[in-house]
Amino acid sequence: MSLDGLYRALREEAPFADFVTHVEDVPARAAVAGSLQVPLPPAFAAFLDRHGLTLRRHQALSIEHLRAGDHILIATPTASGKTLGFNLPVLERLASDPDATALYIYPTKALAQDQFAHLTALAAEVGVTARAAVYDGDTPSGRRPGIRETSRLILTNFYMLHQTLPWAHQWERFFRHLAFVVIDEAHTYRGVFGSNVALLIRRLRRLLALYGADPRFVLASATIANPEEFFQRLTGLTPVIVDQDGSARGRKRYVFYNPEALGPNMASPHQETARILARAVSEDVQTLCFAVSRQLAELVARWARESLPPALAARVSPYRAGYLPRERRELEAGLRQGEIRGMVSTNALEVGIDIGSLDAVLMSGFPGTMISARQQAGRAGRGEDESLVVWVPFADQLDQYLARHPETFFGRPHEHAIVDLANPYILAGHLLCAAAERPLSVDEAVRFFGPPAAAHLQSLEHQGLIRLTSRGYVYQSHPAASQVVSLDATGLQPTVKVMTEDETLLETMDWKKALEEAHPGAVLLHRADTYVVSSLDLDHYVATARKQAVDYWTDPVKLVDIHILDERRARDGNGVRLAFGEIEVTEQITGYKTRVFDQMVALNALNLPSVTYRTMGMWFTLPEAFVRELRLRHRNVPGGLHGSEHAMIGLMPLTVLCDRWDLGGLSVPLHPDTGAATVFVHEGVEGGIGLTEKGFELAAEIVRATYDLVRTCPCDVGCPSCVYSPKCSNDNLPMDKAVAIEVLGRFMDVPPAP
Amino acid sequence: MQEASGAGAYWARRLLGSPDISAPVAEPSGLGTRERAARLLADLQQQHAGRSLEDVYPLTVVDTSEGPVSRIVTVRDIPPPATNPAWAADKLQAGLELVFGIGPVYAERFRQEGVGRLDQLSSHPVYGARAQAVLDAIAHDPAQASSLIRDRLSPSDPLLWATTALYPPSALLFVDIETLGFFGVAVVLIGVAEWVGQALWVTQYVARSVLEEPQILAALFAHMAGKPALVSYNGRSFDWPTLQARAAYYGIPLDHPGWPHYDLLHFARRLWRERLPDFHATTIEREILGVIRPDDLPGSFVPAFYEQYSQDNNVGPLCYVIDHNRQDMEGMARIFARLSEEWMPGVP
Repeated sequence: MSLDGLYRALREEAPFADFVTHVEDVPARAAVAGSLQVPLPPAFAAFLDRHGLTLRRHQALSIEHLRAGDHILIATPTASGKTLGFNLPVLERLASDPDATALYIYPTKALAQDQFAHLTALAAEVGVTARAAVYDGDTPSGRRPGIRETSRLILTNFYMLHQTLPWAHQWERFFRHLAFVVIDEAHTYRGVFGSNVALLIRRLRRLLALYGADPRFVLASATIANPEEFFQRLTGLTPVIVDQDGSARGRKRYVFYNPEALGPNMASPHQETARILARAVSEDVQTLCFAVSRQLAELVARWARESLPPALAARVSPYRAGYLPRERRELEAGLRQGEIRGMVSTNALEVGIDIGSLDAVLMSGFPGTMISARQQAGRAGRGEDESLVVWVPFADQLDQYLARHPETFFGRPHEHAIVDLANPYILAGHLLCAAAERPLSVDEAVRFFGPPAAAHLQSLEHQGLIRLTSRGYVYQSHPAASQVVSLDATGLQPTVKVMTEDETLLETMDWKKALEEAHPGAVLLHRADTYVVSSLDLDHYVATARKQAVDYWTDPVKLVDIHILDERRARDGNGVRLAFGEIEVTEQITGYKTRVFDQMVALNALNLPSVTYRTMGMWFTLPEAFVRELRLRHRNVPGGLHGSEHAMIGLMPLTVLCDRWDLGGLSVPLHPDTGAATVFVHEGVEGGIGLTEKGFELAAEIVRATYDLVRTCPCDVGCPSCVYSPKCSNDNLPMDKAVAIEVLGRFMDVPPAP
Repeated sequence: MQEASGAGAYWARRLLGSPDISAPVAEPSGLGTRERAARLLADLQQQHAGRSLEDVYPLTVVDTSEGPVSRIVTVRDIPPPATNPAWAADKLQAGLELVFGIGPVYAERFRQEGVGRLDQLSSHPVYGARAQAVLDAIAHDPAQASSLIRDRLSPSDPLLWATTALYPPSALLFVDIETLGFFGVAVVLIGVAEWVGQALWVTQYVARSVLEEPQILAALFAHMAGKPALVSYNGRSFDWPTLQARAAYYGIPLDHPGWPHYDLLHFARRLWRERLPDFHATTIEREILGVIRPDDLPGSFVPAFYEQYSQDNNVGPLCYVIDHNRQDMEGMARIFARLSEEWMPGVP
């Protein structure tokens, strides 16, 4: 194996070297030991000795804080041993208090099963009778009463908890003695799901309070910019943050390999990725390559194989979630045992699956968040061995900004995980559930769900769904509230079913998305097959699609109109104003374009109803003098506004953890509600999930990054790395990059939030 | 406030459009059932226009710890089964397997040695004391005897049925509830039935709005206080857990979970497994007892009927629910009597 050989090739050999825009050398670091004021019980110490483990700083801190009764958030890197850091004090408590119980919550059933095995073994080794059990949708109903009655350590997921709380009385023993709630992979609870989970946790805490229990919450999370705020929003409690990683680390070198380095469209990032992978395999560097889609994983693996001699080509393989379980197990084993030298995977291998560690990781495109990027990079490096990470950015705003700002990539975390408690639809739904679990008083509702709960309860009563009695609000509707409230509801009912002609269900989507993507004539991609929608039944919410191999795709043409309902916050500087508030968005799909590759071949009209929904948004307005001055210079004002909108939305995920497609935009030279040139950024989810509220707070940071990006982009008139958006239904017209830079420059006049 | 009321209306729409997916579907195809229900509903509303519940039933108001509640009592000519305590005691004496430590193999060995009765075992050096404990339970504590049988054998064992004969018929309380769905929703009607002499007295506690649920629960629990044993149809899986959940919801104490509870579904399944296509109580009534109910709808229509009554205050659909529940109670008592005939031969 020659990691140096590969590194040198990338740095020195043409044509590789031309594309290398940055290298970063992160040196090895020795472990930092931790110490405890009171040693662990003998059985626990013996366990550590037997496995040759010594406590690291962050583990000792976790133990001390949990012993002291703090809530904690542990945010140390993957493989730093954070799990041990909370398992030991939890079991220590279970050992000293024979009634104490602990609830562990995981994002997936597979992860719960995996940790169940670890916890069972650990409990046995340290001599704690925990009777650990997984309690999820797969647990046979015959086993459930026994688990509820005797288990002291239960592993589950939030979907199960949501369905379990109406039966809380059956959990009285477990809840009454609940000492810890452990939430692993906590950063996954954001967006719509995160808002639902945060309110579900408040339902749990409220029932626990009725049982007199007040457990400590332990969250394990990836590194984010706002750990305290995130913890508070998710649980309603205040944590101590444990992020002083004390684990040992090998030297890791990073290479940024930017296909855009020589100018737009000079090289394909996918072909470059395949070339680097082939080279790595020839240098005998075992490499895991992450691709952003299944198709790309297959393609990159094929291209890499084609350029390798047969003996080596046979040792390169793609991997993705769609394979049969047996195939996947074989591939994972092949990677662990070193038979496979190069694997191209989707993010399916990012966490959780045991494939050991590799010499090098090759990231094709930015995986959307720094959390994912760090997890992918963390797959490289066995123990304290040296490793290499090569990143090939794509030609879009986020990738190119990070490629040109390595300090953002390697510096302190800047992504804010958003948990929003204010979405009126989600909040009201959980208030219904809470009232169905135990009669809910207004005081209780305000204490656990916040002041807006009071008005929502009145509104639910007004609709006849709950009634105020001497015990509090009582649920009086049917069916069961938890059956109707879904943890991943995105609002905008009804749900549309997409069926094939032989009545098989292809997928379901909400009404808004169905109008955009399942209108008559739309091409749908499902498991690599193309389907053409033949009809959309607006009365019964069913779209019918026919499987048909076509070589074109379709893009909806959308008209968006925004009406400002309630400006909640605003600040301005030098005549430029930024506001945040509730808006009403009306979207009308007026037709669709048929494209072959990037060429539009037809424009088809559609006659569909419009969709109107309330959500949250932020908007910039420019002073009239500035716009007049641009006009006097005959500059393209609409093009500049449009470009600034695209670039800003493209870069929002840098600071606000979300997908750019969670956001929409509109820019108009004169908006009736503001009377000025206005650029809107709004949320796609009915009621909003806190993205634009956070965007409003961090606007200065977002605008500065956007301005930098567009100003330093080497293109002439705009490209996907700066002012173009691949999904723009106006074909990126009008567009003016130079004016966009001027507009963004003025947006910087808005001062940072105090 | 404007935004809040939007959210309330949103959930009202959602709930309206949500079928109770977990509710059991009584008729496989449901062909025509919906139409039948709509027609029935219209008829009921027409019949009962302008009437009050008091006009339809002999209604009395009784007090409970949670406040007053409406009660309907109906007396029916459905006699209890003739019981044969001697036969039952004899049958139970043969239950060697009830002794802790004796499984089917040991029991068979004892029987081959001529030890076939518990009282023969009572002087055994190892099992004697335990056998005596079982005998004491049979003689003095039928609740304990029945829980022993359920745990050691099965909830449908004929031995368990034999313990019903340890109670006089008047000690049994039949229970059947009507709810707004499968779980997490209100109980709106509780029916109980008991034998008084040769007649069956059916008592129904009616919640005239969902808010009266605590009253009907309290009324039931008070009624149960004088009764040592419960009988239900599928009640161990549905009615009883629901009542426990609703009592817990309101914080109404329900502190005696140790009642013997005979769930007729288990026995019916064991006895008629070969004869019946399914085990809805109405199927047994029709196929075994020859009782056909006119105009019967599956229980899953109760929520919609009750909802209709709550909305426009026309008592027609509520009357249907009350009648439906009373027929369920009567059916249950008949099934009970029939099971006794099947399992207790030689009644004098």
